[in-house]
Amino acid sequence: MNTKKVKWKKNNLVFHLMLLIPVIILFIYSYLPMFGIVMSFEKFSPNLGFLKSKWVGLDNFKTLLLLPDTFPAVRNTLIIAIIKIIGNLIVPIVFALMLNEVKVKWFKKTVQTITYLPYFLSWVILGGILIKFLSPGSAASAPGFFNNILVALHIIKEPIYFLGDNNYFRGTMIISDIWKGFGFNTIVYLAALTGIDPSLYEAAAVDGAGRWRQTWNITLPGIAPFIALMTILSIGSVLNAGFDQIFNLYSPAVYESGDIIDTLVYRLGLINQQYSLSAAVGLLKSIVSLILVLTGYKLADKYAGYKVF
Amino acid sequence: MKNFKKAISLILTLVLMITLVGCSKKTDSSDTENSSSEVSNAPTSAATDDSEAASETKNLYGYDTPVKIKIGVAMASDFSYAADETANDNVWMDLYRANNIDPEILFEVDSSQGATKMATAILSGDYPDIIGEQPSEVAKYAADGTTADITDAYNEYASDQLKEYLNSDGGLALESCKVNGRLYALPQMVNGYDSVMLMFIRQDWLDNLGLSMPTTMDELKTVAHAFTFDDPDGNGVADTYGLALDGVDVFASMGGVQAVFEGYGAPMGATAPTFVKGEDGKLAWGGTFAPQMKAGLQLLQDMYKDGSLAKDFITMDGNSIFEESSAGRCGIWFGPMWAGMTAASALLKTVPASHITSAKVPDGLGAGTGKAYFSSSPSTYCGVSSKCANPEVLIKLMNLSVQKLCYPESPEEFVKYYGEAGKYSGWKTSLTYTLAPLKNYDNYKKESAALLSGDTSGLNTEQLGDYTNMKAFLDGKDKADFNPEDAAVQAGVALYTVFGDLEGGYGALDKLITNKLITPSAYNSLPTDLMAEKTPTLNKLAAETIIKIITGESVDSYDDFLQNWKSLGGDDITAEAQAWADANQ
Repeated sequence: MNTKKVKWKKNNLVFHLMLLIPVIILFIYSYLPMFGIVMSFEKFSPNLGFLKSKWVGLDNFKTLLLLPDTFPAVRNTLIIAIIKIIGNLIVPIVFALMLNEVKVKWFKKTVQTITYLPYFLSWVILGGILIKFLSPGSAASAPGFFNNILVALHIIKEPIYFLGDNNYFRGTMIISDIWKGFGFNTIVYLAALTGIDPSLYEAAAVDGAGRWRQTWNITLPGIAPFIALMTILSIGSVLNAGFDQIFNLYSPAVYESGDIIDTLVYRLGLINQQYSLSAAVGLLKSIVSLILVLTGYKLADKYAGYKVF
Repeated sequence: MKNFKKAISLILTLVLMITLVGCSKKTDSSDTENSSSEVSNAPTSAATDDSEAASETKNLYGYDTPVKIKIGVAMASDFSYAADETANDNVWMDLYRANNIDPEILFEVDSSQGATKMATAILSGDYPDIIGEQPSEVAKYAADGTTADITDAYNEYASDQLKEYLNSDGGLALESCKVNGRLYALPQMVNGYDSVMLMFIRQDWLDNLGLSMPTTMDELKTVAHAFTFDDPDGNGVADTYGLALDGVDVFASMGGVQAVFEGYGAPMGATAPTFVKGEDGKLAWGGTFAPQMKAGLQLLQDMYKDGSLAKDFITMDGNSIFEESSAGRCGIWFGPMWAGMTAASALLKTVPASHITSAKVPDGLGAGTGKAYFSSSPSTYCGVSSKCANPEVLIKLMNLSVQKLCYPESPEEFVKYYGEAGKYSGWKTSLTYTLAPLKNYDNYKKESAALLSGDTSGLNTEQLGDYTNMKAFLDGKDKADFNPEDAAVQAGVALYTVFGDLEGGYGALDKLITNKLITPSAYNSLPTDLMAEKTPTLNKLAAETIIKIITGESVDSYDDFLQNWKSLGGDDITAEAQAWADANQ
C-alpha cells in the first residue's frame, strides 16, 4: 500500500512537469492579456497605452447598443453557431457508429483518411476553392462543380448563388463547416468506441439483442461521457460562428445573414481602428460564453452526473 | 479547449500585441544610436547639389553615419519588380543607403492588405517609421501621438525644391496636414485627374458587332446586352458578358460601383461620403440624390437580371476584375485612367487584335448631362513615427525623392528613378511618391501628338521612353516576327491605353477637361473626428443596400436606406462639411 502511494506520487510529478509547459503558455497568452479588458472602458489609443488612455466608463457599450450592425450580428452568430454545434455533435457520432460497423479494415481506413483530409486545409485555401465550386457561373463561365452536379441530378433547376444569396448563405456556412470538421471529430468517438468492453457485446448477443439494441444499450451509454464532454466544451463556442470561414466567404450582399460578431469586431477593430469598441464586443462575448459554459457544466453534472474536473 | 480559447481570442490577441510594445521600444533606440550627428558639413556624393546654398552647412539628403529606419512595403498585385530588383534591393534603396539612410523592411504585403497591416503594426507598437496615411488618419495619428510633429524638421531641412513641390497648389494640401497649427504629415501632390473614374471597353468587340461607343446609360445597357448574347469575340461560344463590378469592396477604384452613379449625377466617392454642391448650393453627399440614385440602381438591377452584368459579381473584388478583363470574359469595366493597362498587356498575348478604349462614364439622364467627379484633395499623406529618433529623415527622403523625380539633373537619372520596363522598377519602390502633379496629363499630350506626327523633338526622356515602347508595339504588331511577350511591347501596349491612344484613358480625361465636364469635390479638408467615426458604418450600410437592390430588392427601399443614413449620422457630418464650406468660402 505504502510503496504504491509513493510510486503514484512520483509518476504524478513527471506528469505535472509535463503539464507545466502548456500552463505557462496558457498563462502568458490567455491570462496576462486579460488585463487588456480595461481597453473597453477607455478611449484607447495605441500610443498612450492602457494607463494613459482616457477613461470613458460604459460609453463604448452604449455606442455598441446603438450601432445598427450589432443586433443582426448577434442574431446571425447565434443561429449559425448553434446549428453548427448540433451538427458537429450529431454527424461525427453517427458517422463513427457507422464506421464502427464496417469490418473491412482497408475500407474503414480509407474512408477515415478521406473524410478527415479537409480538416487540415485552412479556410483561406478552402474559401478560394468553395468560391469556385459554389459559383453560379456568369454569361462567360459555366457554373461551379457543385451547382453542375445538383443541376445534372435534377435536384435544382437553376444554379444557386450559395455565397451571394441570403437564403442560402447560412446553410452553406453550416454544411461546409460540418463537412470540413466531421472526419476529424469522428476520431474522438472512434477512440471512445474502442474503449467499450467487447464482452458486453458478446453477452448481449447471447441474450438475443440485435445490432440496434446493442448500439442503443451498449455503444451509446459507453460513449456518453465523451458526448457530454464534447457538448460542454462546444457550448463555450456558442458565440463563435467561425471567423476564418465567414471572413473568407462573405461579401456585402450577404451581410444581412452572414455578418457575425467576429467579423463585426474585425471591421471595427482592425479596419476602422475603433479598438475600444471591438474590445467591448469581445468582453461581452467572453462574459456570455463563460456563463454558458458554467451553466452547461452544472446541467451536465445535475442530469448526466458528469463532471469534467 | 480550442473552442473555449477561441471565445476570447480576439481581445486576447489585441492585448497580446500591446504587451509586446515594451520589448520593441528597446530595440528602437539601439537601431538609431549612431545617428547623433544630424548636422554635417560634408554632403555625400549622391546628394551634392550646387543650387542648394544650405547644403554647405547641413546635409539635407542624408547622414554621415548610417541611420536605420523601419519601413513597410505594400505593392499592388499588378506590380512586379523589374529585372533582378527586389523590395530590399533596387535603385531607390541604393540611393537611400548611399546617403546613409538604411531602410529595414518590417513587413511586405499585397497593397489590398496594406492599410490593415499598418493599423495592426501601429497597434502592436512596432510599426514602420515612414507611414503612408489616409486622409482620415492624419489628424487621428497626430492626436494619439503615432506620428511626430515635423514642423521644426520641415523648417530646418526642407529643400527649396521640396517647398516648391509642396506649394504647387498654393499650399492648400500642406495646410491640410496641420493639426493645431503644427505639421504632422506631408501630402503627396497628385492631380485629381488620375483618379477620375472612366469607362473601359473592348473596342474590338464593339467593331465586331458594328456598335459604337455608348454615350448614354441606355446605350450602355444595349451594348452590354450585345456583349453578353451576341458572341462579340466571334468564337461561337457563350463565354463573354458585358459589365463587371466590384461587389466585395463596392466603392473602389478598380470596378467601383460608384462610377455608375457618377454618370447619373450622384457622385458618392470611393470612400463615401464625399460632398458635392447640390442644386440648392448646399453641400450634400451624392448618394442622397434619390431620383438619380434610383435610376442608376434600376439600370443595374435590369442588367443583373438578364446577365449582362456578371451574375457572380457579388464575389468579385478589384483583383478579380483584373483577371476577368485580362481573360477576355468581360467587355466593360470602370476605373481610373490606368484601369485598362493590365488587360491590354495580357490580352495581347491571347487576342492580338484586342483593343481597349476608354470614355467618360455614360450619361444617365440623357446625352450631355453626365459629369465626372473630381477630388481636389490629396488621397495619401506621409508621416513619420513618433518613435523614430530622427523624424527629419522624412524630410530628407522627400528632398531626395523630389530631387530625382521632379528636378532630375539628367534624363538618364530621371529614367533610372522613374522606372524603365525590364530594367528599373521605378518610383513605386521609393518610400515617398513625389511625382510632378500634372506630369501624366503633359505626357499624354506630348506622347499622343508625337505618335501622330512622328516628331519626337519635344519629348523629355520619360516621354521618349514611353514613345519607344509604344512604337515597338504599334509598328511591331503587323510584322511576322512580332513577339507579344517582349518587355518593351508589353509595356508599350499598356502605356498606349493611357498615353498614346486618343481614345485611351487620358484621351477620355482630356475631353472631360477641355469640355469642363467635371464636378469638383466641395469638401476639401481632412475628415473631422465625427466623419472618421461615422463613415465606416454609413459606408457599409450604403454598400449593402446598393448590392441588395442590384440583386433584386425593390429600388424604393433606397428611400428607407436614406432615412437610416441621415439618422445614423449622415445629417451630422453633412452639417460639419457645410460648416467647413461656409468658413472657407
